[in-house]
Amino acid sequence: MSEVPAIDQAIVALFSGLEGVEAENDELTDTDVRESIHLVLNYFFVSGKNDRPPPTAYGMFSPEGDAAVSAVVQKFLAAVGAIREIERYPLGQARLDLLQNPKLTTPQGRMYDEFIGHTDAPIAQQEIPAYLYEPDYDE
Amino acid sequence: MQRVEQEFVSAVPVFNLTVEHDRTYAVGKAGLLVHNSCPGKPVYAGVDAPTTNAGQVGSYTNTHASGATYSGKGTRARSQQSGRRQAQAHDDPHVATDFTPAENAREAFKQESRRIDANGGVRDPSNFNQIESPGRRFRIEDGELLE
Repeated sequence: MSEVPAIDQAIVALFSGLEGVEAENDELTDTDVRESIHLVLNYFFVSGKNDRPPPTAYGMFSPEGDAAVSAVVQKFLAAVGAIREIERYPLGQARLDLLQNPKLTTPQGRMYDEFIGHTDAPIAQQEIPAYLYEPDYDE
Repeated sequence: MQRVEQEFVSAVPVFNLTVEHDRTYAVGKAGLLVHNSCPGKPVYAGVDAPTTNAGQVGSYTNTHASGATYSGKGTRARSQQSGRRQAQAHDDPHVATDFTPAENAREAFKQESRRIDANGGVRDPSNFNQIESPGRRFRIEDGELLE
């Protein structure tokens, strides 16, 4: 656990929210979606960049699915950004470790890696991929 | 038709057709139904149209023209969407898909992890995967891998 319960609560809410989205959208844990969520969290939370709006296309199969994922991610970014103690955790590895805490589980007992995968170190990411702003739905 | 196998031969040119507003059409002697690319987007055609059991979860490895690979968990439809995304991200056309169905999501995750490892792991530059699959943890939990 982190030293700040509010941060842990925001992270649990993030993964629990994604688990809730999965109830209506089986594709939530598909690799494309998992990696999209990871890249967005890596860019805005782990790397602390804030030079553009969060993406809206996570690789879900429907606009509704993408909107649901986007809402959960944006709620997390807003919630954790409002916690003053987040400044105790420097950008980079410390932020990634907060997200990849195996002790924080969803109501179904699932861990972070089912929703965002795992990396040992933050991904060096200068840009957000363009496809995260360009939905691709089969007609 | 119960199963379709596919063999990668070589990268070939692809064309995006729309005939009188119809974007799905039959090709070849077998009359295989295919779908064009989405309007306004680069033509990175899929190479493995879902046939039967399109919603069957499994794992896949997509090969791109450069030889780079990307492995994932999902349905056949996912494998094609994934191929288009990686093609766009790396400007590297998707040329082949190898798909294997799985009994359930956990097995699909494990298959995905094995595929990533078989292609050099997430640190291999010829592998577009950058993020480990939860299947790696499942393989450890099931005694297949040492931590």
